[in-house]
Amino acid sequence: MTARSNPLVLIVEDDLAFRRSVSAYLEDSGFFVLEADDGVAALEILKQHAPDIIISDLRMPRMSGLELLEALKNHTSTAPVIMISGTADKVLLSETTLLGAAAYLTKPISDLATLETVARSLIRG
Amino acid sequence: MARQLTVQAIASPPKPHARTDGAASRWLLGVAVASAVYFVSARLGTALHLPSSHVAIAWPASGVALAAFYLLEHRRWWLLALGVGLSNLLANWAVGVQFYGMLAATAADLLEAMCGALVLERFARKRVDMTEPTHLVALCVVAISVTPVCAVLGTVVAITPGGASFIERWRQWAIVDGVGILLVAPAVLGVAGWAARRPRALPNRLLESSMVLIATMVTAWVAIAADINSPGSAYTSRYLVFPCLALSALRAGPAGAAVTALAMSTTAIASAIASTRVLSHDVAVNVVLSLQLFVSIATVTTLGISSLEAHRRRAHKALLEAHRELESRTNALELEVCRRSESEMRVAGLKDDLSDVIDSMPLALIAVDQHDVIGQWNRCAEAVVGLPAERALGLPAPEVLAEFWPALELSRIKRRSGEWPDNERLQLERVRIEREDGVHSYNVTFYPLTRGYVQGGVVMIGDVTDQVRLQEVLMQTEKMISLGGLAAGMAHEINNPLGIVAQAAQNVQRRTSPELEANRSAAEAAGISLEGLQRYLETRGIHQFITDIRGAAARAAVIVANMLEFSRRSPSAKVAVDLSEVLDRAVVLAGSDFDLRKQYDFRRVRIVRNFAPSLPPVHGVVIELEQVFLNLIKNAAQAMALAGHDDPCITLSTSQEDKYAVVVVEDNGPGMDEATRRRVFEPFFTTKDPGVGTGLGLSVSFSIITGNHKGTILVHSTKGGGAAFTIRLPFASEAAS
Repeated sequence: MTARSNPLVLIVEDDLAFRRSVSAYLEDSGFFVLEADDGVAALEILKQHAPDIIISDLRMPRMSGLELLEALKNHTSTAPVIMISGTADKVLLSETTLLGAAAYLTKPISDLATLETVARSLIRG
Repeated sequence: MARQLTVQAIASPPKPHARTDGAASRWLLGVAVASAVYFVSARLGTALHLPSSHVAIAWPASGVALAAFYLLEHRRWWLLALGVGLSNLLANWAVGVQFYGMLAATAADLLEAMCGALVLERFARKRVDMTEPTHLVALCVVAISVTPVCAVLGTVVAITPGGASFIERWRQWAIVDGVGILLVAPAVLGVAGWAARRPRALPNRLLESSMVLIATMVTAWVAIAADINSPGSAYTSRYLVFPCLALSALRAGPAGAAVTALAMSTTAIASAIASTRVLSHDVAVNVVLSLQLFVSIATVTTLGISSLEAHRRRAHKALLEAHRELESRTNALELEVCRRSESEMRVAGLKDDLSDVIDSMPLALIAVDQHDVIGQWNRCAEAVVGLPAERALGLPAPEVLAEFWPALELSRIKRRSGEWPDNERLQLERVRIEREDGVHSYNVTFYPLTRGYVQGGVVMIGDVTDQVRLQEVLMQTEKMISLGGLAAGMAHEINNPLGIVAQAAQNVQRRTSPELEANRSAAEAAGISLEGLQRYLETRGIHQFITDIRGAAARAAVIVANMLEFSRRSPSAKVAVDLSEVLDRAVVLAGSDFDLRKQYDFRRVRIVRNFAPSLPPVHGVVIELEQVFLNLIKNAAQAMALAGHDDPCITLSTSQEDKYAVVVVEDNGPGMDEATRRRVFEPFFTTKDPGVGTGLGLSVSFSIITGNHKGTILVHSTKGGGAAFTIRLPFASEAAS
């Protein structure tokens, strides 16, 4: 059991309101939260921090979630990535697991407890 | 040198020696033969003269000479004259005629023959035809006119003292020469003509002619002898030769008859001479001369009869030929008539074919004259306009084609005013006309028809309803595809804000809860008690509001998710599908169908499931099958809702039938009438109000089942008796094989 009681999570999401609601929930659940509004910003943060888990949107400006996954393949960060998206293309979303995503969830997330549970299980595993 | 040679060449042109030599030698032969025959006949004549007479009592040589001069070439007449003259001289010399008498006789005989030949030639140009009465007449003219003249010469010069009187001798000369011509010349000319025709005489005919010849000769001999030996008999026996001669004339032909007559005459004269030896000289001469006149008349009669017979035969032959010709023409005419009637039949057949072609056309074809009266109305026109041809023909087109005519009126005006441009046609596309069974679309074409001076026109009407519908389906399908894409994009955009609403509401609930340490410290810092806040939120129903927000967001999420399920066409890979599961999901989908809920509560509908246990899976696309069943369930629910049913019930049953899984979706709703039932799968056919149904649901279902899934879909329904859709789908094991 190496996981900290207050794990560090990086949320990569271009929609501020969405990001805020997720980070508020996770903070309340005891996470330390880092926020990035796209893949480029996320990689910038990863230079200084080593989050326990990354939650990323799929479609974002500058660098998408898929490109971020690609970039993380040869990265020092080994944090598992949870992909979330509102896309109609569930096949594409499921295929992100082949590109390195640890799990995926579809928007809207009616109960954020699901996300927290998935995140915690990934950190522990 | 060259010039001299040319002159020489012109001066002595080559002559066809060989040819002229051949002709000349043939001619010389002819002259020799003629001279010889002449000599023989002349000797016969000189031999026959009675001891007391100075003139022969028969002179066949005159006939031989005439025939020779007539038949042989005239250019060298002198050579023939020389030959004949020499023969004459020789014959006379042999019986010891005086020199001057000989010369005179020869001159007279030559003159007679040559003049006779010339006269004969006036009538018959190259060939004397004994079947020609005119030729016979010419011969008689020669015998009667030329011989007396020439006899004068012979008699004057050859006169000898101590004989008969001049008149008597002249008469005798003229008679014997004339008789010689009449008897001998026809026979020679006849035989020559017969030989020239190169006949193929039948042996029977020759035998018959010969027998008649012999009979005639015998008769002549006996009859003449009898006549002369019985002086009181008035010479009546000689007439017995006539039947024989008549028979010969009828059977032996002109040449044969001439020969027979000659033979008869010779026999008769010989018989007479033989019999007259007992008589006195003058009596004998008179008897022989009168006999010669008799045989001449008999000969001429015979030749006349044979000529008439020949004419009759020729006429008969011509008649036969004419008959044959007529027959062949009649046959040809009959053949022509047959051919004509055959071609008429062919034309009629062609006409039938043509009207069959016109009748079988999938277009209504109507021809009108310049007054727009209908002249042609094919079978398709009957179907399109709904009027049989026998009633439509002769009626005014604007009346019968009232539905189409307003559009065609312009054409009529143009046509009447003569302004119709060449090759122009009036085309009206997709003329929409309401019929009992729905709206039909027609393409109408009008073009002028010039039939002689009549300015008519042809109206063609094609029912393009199906094509128009198909086109609309295609357009709609494209629209639906792009709508699907739009829905997918929209869903994505909605999901984000929906997520924010749901998550924010959850955060509100959580951050007002006293359970979180952070909440308590924040409340403390703010100077309020969390318990108090909780009571307040409870009292004012704020908790409930937030719960409502979260519930609404969740519902919206479901709707969006369903919408995505629909719009998504991929992946369409077929998998083994459990029909029970798909049916259950369709029911759930129907329950969450927003459209459905808007109108009534789906939960009121009783769903009865009669699923066959352990039904093997079918081969199909889950989402597509879901869509089909959802469509059927929705339709059933809507129909029952509209009918205001008390106990709406949908029965879903599955069963196994041979190699197929059978799904029946049955309702106890209002059902449908036959016309509706027949058209339910047609695209855009809908009984729903405009805007409620697209009319695509069942047609898309139909294409999914029959096209992609190789199954069948049928509907059973009666008005008021509910509706049952039966779907058959091949099992996965079957489809795989």
